[in-house]
Amino acid sequence: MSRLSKFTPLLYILPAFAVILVFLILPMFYALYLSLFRWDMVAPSQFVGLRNYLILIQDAEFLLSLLNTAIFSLGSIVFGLGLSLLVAVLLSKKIRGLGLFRTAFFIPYIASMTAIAIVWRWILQPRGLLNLVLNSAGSLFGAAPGEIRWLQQPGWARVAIIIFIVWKTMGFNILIFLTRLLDINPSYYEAADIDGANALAKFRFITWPLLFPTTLFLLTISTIFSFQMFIPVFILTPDGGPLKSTSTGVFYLYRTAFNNNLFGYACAIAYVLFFIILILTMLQKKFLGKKAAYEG
Amino acid sequence: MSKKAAKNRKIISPRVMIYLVLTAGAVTMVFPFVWMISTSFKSSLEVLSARVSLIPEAKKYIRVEGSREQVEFALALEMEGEVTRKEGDIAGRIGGELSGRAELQAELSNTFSDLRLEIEKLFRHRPPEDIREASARLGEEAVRRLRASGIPEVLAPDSRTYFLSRLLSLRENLDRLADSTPAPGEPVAVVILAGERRGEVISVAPGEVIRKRFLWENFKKAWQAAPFARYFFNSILVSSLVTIGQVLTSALAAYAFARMKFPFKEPLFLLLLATMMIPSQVILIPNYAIISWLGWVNTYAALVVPFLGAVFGIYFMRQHFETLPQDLFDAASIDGCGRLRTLFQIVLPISGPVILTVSLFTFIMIWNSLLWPLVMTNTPEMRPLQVGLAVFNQESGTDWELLMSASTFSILPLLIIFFVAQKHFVEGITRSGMKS
Repeated sequence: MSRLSKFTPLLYILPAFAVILVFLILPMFYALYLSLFRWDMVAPSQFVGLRNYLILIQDAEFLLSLLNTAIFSLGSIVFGLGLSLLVAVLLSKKIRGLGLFRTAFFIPYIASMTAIAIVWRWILQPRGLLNLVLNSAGSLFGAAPGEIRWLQQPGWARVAIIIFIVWKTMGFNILIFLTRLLDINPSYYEAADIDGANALAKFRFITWPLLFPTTLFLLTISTIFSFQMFIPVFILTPDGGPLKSTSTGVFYLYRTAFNNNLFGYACAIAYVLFFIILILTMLQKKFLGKKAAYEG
Repeated sequence: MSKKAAKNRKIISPRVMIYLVLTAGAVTMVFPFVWMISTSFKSSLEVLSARVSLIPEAKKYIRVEGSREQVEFALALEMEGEVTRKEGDIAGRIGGELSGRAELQAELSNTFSDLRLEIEKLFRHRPPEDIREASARLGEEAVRRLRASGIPEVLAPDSRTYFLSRLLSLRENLDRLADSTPAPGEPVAVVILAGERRGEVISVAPGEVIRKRFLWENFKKAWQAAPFARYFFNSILVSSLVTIGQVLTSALAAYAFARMKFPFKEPLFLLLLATMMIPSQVILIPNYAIISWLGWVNTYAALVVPFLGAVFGIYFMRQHFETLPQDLFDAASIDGCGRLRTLFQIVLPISGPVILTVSLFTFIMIWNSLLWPLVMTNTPEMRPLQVGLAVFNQESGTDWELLMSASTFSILPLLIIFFVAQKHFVEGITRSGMKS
């Protein structure tokens, strides 16, 4: 009886654990297994060993989707984190209407990605809002009106995706930065004031070092987000953009599996993406994490 | 004291800058939503007109064979056409002489576009039979403005004569057109602007012209263009089932991990945490194979069951359960309250905020997910809202007013939930965000 009751707590974790086992842990290994096969879900699968991986590293479309992903992460990190930090610092200055501003910046993050991406597809049309706004801003400086074909030209399509991601995820970044900023002990700044430090010096020597772990965290999140990005690409450029210029890893995986029925190959894509994310996350921790030791 | 005042004055201007930057940013964040709502109320013609108007324009309609068509008074179009013709004449003749005089060129084209705008405004608010006097004044004003603009002075004599004669002819023609307006109650000529009979001029009684600014029926049209009622039903059902199920299984597991001793407790918890590293795309295809094997493709089971256990919920609730005082559990145990009853009758009732946060996150995550239900469903009856919306996006390519209406009614429910529960939401994100 008592030996049995020792195990009763396991019954509590069983429901959740069973689901996690069947739909998370098992598929993880199953994907690795499937990646060694050629399989279209109709004909019997055919063992091909590491062939899928060998083909993959020479697959131009896959390599392009990795390049696109790299561009998206870099763009969204540089602009997204930069702007978010700026706004968060401004919001932390004991301003009036903080709640109102915070809500305004946060709304895009709340809105469903699919619906709001459709709104941006409308804004990014050749005669859409963005071009109209740019043209009227340009006319103030005497620039001739033009028409950027945001979603039809490879370069601009990438810029469009970055603009959308930055706009969509800024609220989250700001919230995380702001929470940390408001946690910083004000006595640091008071001490700096006594030493006669200016605003820039205070940011450089107090705010920035203390924010570093937060920045690192957001950097990792942004990188992972870019690698897993699917909805913006699927809605804004349903076929992967002009010359596949907006196709990301996950988007390519989706098309490979569900449009071309190459399920084994798609699993190989999934695993390679997984390892790239893993390595990037560890590299970021290793190289940037050292500095994070300077924590207050 | 005066030193302090001086210091305060210096602070004011950076503060103004801060507010300016923040306001500009906030407007950029919110404007796409405003634009979405504004577009939902417009007509398809207005959407294509490439004019930025936040408040939809007033539009005129008549009923033609049961369906409603947007129309414009023929007279208004004739008057605008006359303005455009004269502008073309004048620009063609004197454009060369004005090159290099940017301000005069701008004045020329501004006057003509202002005139067109005035005509449009005039007809927008008043019936044609009522505009005689007002339109005469318009032509007069435009001619006076162009004469005084300094343009005649820079022109060669014969160009100047031509310019002035065109202006006079413009005014005369506008007057003549205005004089041809029908008497009150008489039929007016309208041009059909869209649809199969586009371009046709018909004569209707003034009372038949309907004026509208906000096209509420766009929402109805969008709602009926795809089975959105079904999509909503599916999304509400699936998100609710997952939320309830996940909170239950998470609470049970979290309770065991927080307050019980059992074999392999630590390794099991570490295993759970490790699964957080598994990206969703890795398991998508094997899961599709598993779901197919179970015969669950295109069923609610495929959308609900795989999400009935989640590490996030367990982790979050365990943290909370660990902070509860041991006395609570001792007292329950002394009163003869079993472990399961303690969980449901004592622990959960005092854990409202945590349950709410976990529920909110789960609900929103499931509600917003696209890739999984896109892969797992293949008929409209089983699609949740996001998939339905994505399909609608591909099928109705450029019916922007309908796409924006659909986006609006898809986004609003969640925004309302957010505003009601904003505090929990923000706390949840900062807590889970900082700790992961």
